Amino acid sequence: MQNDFTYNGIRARRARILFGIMAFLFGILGIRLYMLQIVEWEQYRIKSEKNTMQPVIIQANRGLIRDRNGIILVDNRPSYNISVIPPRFLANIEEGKCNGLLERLGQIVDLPCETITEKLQSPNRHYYDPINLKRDVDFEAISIIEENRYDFPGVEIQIEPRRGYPIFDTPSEISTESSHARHNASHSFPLAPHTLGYIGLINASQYSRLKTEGYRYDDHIGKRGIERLFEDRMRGHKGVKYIEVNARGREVGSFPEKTDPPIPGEDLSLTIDWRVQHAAEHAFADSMRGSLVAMHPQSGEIIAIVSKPGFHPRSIRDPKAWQLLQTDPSNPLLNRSLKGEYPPASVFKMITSVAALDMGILKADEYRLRPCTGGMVFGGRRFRCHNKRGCGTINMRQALVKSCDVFFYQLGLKVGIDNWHRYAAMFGFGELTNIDIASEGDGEARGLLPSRAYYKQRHGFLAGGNMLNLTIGQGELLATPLQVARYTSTLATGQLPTPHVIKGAQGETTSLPISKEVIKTVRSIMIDVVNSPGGTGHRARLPDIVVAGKTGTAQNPHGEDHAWFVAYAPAENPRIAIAVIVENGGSGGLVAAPIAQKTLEAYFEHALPKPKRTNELFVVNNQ
Amino acid sequence: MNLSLFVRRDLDIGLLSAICLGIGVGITTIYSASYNWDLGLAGNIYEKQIIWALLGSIAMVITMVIPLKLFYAFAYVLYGLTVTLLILVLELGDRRWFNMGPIHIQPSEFAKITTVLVLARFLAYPNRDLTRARAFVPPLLLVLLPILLVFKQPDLGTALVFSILILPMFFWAGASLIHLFFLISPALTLICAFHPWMLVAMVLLLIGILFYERPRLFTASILLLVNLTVAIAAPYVWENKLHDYQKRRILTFLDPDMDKLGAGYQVIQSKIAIGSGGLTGKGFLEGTQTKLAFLPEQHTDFIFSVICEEFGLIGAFFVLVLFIFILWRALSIAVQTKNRFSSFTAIGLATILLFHIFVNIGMTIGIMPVTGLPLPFLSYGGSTLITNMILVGLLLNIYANRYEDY
Repeated sequence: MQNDFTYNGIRARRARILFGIMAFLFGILGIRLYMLQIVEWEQYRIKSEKNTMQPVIIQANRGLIRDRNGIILVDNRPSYNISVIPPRFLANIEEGKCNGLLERLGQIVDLPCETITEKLQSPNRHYYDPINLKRDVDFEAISIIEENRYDFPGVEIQIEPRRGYPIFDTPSEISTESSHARHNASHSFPLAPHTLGYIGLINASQYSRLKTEGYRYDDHIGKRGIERLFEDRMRGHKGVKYIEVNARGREVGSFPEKTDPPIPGEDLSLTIDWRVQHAAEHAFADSMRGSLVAMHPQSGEIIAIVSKPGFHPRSIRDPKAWQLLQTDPSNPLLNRSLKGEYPPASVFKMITSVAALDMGILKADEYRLRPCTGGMVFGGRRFRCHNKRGCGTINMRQALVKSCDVFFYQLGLKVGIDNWHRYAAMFGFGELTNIDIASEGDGEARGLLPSRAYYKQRHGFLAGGNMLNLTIGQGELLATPLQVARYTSTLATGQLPTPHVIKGAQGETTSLPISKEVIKTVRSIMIDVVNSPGGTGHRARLPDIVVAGKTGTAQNPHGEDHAWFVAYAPAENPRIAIAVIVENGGSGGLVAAPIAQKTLEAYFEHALPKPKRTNELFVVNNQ
Repeated sequence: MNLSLFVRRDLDIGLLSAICLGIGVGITTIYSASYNWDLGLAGNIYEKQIIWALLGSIAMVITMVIPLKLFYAFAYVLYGLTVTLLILVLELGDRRWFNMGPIHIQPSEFAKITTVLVLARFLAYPNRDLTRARAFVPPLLLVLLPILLVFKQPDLGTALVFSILILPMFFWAGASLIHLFFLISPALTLICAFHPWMLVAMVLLLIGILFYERPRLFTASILLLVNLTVAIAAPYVWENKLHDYQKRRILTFLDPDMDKLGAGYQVIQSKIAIGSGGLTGKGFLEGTQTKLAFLPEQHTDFIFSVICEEFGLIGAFFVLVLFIFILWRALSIAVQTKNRFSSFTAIGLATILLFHIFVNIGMTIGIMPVTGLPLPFLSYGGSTLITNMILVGLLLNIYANRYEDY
């Protein structure tokens, strides 16, 4: 036949070797079983009869989360759970029947008796584990159980660490301005809930995946944000102590020498400054939806990151509140800073300016383009300027200060979509920022930076009108607030940083191949936007510090315009770059700029060394 | 469709009855494991297991009547499908499962069988020259892909199943034991890398065997290079690249005693349950360890401990003999079948069973790490039971068509 293989003799020999190996392995098992069950039987029989030792879990403290100055943002505090150890408790009741004992217990913990019997039958548990009937119960219920503990065999009170938010919980630490705002629901949230995230009960599929890693079926686990991303580092390692129990399961002794103390989780330090974060969150009015991202432009350290509306991380404990949050049309659970995609509007005009300046198409103070008459006709369509009366004959500086659209329509056509796309890509648009809390975490949106190829693919051709919309930051263009904040940093320094929230997680910084002069010129213009008389960004002025900024008002087909404002300061030596968006807020200069101003104010109030105002750089060039 | 299947001569009655017996013992033990003394009745999981067994029988019969030619023809397709599922489950599913309402579908279970099929198909090609190193490369790559994907889930136990699979199959294909030693040498080096003398001994052994065997220079240098890289990289990665929690996870895997609360506690309680069973056991439904709820996971991973406690050494040996019989049937099916592909398939399937049995029982008696691999046919769990019955269906199919060559 084919070869040796089909010849049974050789196969049989190899089969005998395999069978021999198998027999050897089973021999090991057999010998070991014989040792355990026959030779050491006496010893194990005694152990089994005396097996009254039960392990009791000692929860490990979860790592704390601190801000950049070491101030604790998230800590642990005790809460009381009422729990039941089923084998001991069930001895007193018939299965599934609500008798007097269960009714009484139900009244105390405020749960219908059916819910209790259901909970007692949950399958995914280790038998010696207590089942939590109710978490976080008030003191009254605790004392009733404690007083009547002999009526409730197998019912126990357990202390469990719960996440606490000290800055929110102790009003004295919050400035007086906000203490009156505490009456307002949306203000009484802990800071940065989207970024910090929250912990919640482990769900069934997570449990079956993680049970070999020491999770219990009613453990808490990080569900979102930093709590989820750094779960492994922050959860610590549970300890265990052993108690001696009698036949009824009551504790009669302990084995202190066997105690294995818990190892607390690692603390995490963030780059966020809670004072700035606090000021930024409170700068948003309650009704506002939007986001703010402030970062250190050189290193990419995030100083404040806000997404509004917020939510209370503890809402996850309350199914009704959670349901409301999930169905809320304003989508409070969405992290708008990383995942909200908006047209960047006029704040994007600096891209066209940088491209034109760097390529030598137009100088900042040249009057070469046709005057703005409130609109221009292109390809048989009229494209309007937001200033209906027209801006007149202006140069680039004035065009940015007044945010003239017609000027940029013309400039955009001169630059062309390919160059425009190339410069915008340099500033990180259309790409992930690779912020440390996004990859493996809750993720971030990429935004959309259309190129010629994009239009070819979508529509088959690129219409000239598309470019006009892109150059003023409208059209298909989309960016996240984080991308816009990073772009602002890059305008401030000429370098594209990788943003990060965890202290010490600094990523790489890329220098842009753009001349220093261009950055300087754009800076002087952005200073004018805020500081010149009639500048659109005048609401972001600070008394002692030169702020450079740009407003934006994004047209929104579904409703009111989105208000944008970007800024960095001090202009001569940038230490903070900031991007603010207020959804449907209206005018950027009117709504978003004051939010940025309040945040900058808070930053410089605490920043050391105090920056000095340098008058030389304060150029008002508005002939 | 082969109707002669139902003729007595073509049905491996022995194997089939052994499987039925195993499942019966499993359901009985699950009943006992979920039995509550206080209530005087058992939970309903044994009923669920009966339903799984019925579904598994259907799956088994279907596998029995599909012509083996089809498995041969579609081996690569099936392999590609399950690998795609493994990738998808990492991306879309819950890393291990696809959740479809109450049903969890675990692609790594199916991947075990399709990997066996694809390896069998590769090795069955008549002129594989297994004296050359390059013949080992494609099957190694074929098996490495699912290993990496399963490891990423992370499911170390199942990843090990895939790794072990290739050794007996290579052996069956005619590879020499020395070549197999070369194959596992990086793994041995990894273990030895943390102890200087062990490492020296390992390197000397490797060099000695290289001199004795004298493979091609290229092969020998690759082999040495791989081993040296492992030896140098392993301690470095351990010291510098792993977080404390990651190290702890590996250490508790190797030594459950370190984790007094989790794996360590389970093993201690399991040993007490087994040891206290003695020769004849405490009797059905009389196991104190299990009934007083000291033993966790008693209906799934630690079901063997329940058998040992209630039926003693006699019960334990009965189960061992049952398993030896099943594996012996699988081996002799591999010997008897005329077809190379079927023969390799039978060897691969037998290996899957043997590895699960040895690691699971080894775990309950404290000589193997706690991996979470279930005991075939006995442990509670739908997807594993159905997969194992499909596996048996394949074996029965091969037996029925043992004289057919294609």
